[in-house]
Amino acid sequence: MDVYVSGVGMTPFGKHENKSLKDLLVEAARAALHDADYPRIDAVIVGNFMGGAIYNQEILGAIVVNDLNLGSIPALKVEGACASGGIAIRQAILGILSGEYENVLVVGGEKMKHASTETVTQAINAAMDNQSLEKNSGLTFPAFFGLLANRYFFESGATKKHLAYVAKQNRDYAVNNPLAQFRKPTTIEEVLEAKMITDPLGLFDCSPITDGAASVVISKQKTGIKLKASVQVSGPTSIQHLDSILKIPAIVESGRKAYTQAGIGPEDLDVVEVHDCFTITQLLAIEGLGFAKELEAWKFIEEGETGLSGKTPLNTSGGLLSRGHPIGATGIAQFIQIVLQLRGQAPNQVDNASLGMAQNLGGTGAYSVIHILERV
Amino acid sequence: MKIYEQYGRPYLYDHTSHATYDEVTREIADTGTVYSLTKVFVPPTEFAHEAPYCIGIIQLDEANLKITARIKDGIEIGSRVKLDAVENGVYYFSELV
Repeated sequence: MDVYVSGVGMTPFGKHENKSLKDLLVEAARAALHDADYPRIDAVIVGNFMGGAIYNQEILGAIVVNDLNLGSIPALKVEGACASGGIAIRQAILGILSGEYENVLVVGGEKMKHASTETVTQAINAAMDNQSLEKNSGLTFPAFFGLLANRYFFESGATKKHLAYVAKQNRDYAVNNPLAQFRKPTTIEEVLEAKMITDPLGLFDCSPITDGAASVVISKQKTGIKLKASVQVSGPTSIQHLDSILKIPAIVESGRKAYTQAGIGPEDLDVVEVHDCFTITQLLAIEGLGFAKELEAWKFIEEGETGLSGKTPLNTSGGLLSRGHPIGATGIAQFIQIVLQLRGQAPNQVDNASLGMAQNLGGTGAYSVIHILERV
Repeated sequence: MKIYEQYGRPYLYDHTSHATYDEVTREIADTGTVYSLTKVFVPPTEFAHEAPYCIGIIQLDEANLKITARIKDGIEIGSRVKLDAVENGVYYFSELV
């Protein structure tokens, strides 16, 4: 497809006590517009999940248009839980493919740190079906993935220590990322001894609560970074109907479609970002997207295959776990890390990366979005 | 427990069901096996007063159906369990002895 990335920008991820959601969105968007050398923007698409629920702020699209003085161009917000950012990028691509737009500004962000953990946990639960036994039973997002982790241990022989390797590797990457939320090195012991959130997931197994924003400009005009695939799928909103909870259908199906669209296989990718909302989710994505065999992602990581010189350098930004997870910004931040890798400008740069992928998950497998990018 | 089938897939016949009266329903045993479980230490606001609590996925014996339920602490994957109660749309299971 003849669609290109012409600019990227993001705020530091972490706590922004003195900046509003608007401030963060505008800061990221300004950086992306500057990077793109200020093309004429035809539309704005915002990715955001809980601006209404915990920050009482909607009309984000028009707010961005006005604050950036972009005239009277159309704007909208898209919501797909943690996949809001990835879906926003895909809508921009579709807008360009339709012929309606030549340059679309995509910006995603979230303001979360002002709220209590209980309030955020409750708001995130809006991404479950209210008419489900899962929601009624008191399942949280960490608890959902805790169920997956215990079953994974039971079937694969992996242990909590193997989840700790995921947390440790992503932290090691984040240490080198100037925009990451957590830049302090950690140890396997610290990860294993951290406070339990929901058995078996401790604090380091869970992505954090984060403020931040990220932005990209998607264009019709040629640049050095070309879109090779853009795929979005929906999956079951309830896990109890799955034959195996260890194969999240949305991840598997989005991967299959993306590889077909790009005409490549998982072994062709030089660098990848997957949705590691929890350590266990990273293992299931590695398997679901075909980088390792079923029930063997923990070995793939232990053997160093997701390291910079491994088969599939993965989550080199630090991932959601350590780069941070301002929900609406996440899919865009993943995408930006791949763009930077292909430009040769990334923290934890992979030598001569030319083909990369970003995978963004929403809900408990309700949405999965994949973008494959190529250096041209 | 009562279940019904729609498009060849079994569902619980409960307050969340979309079944109509002419759907095929049948009664099944209240027993099953624990497929997976977790213990929640950090709850959402609405369940804050109940934490910590345990949740399991139960594979039912007489239908190709798993359900999410509250379970007693100390139960393991593979444990045999039975339904104790259904309250406010929540299923409660304990170990079968």
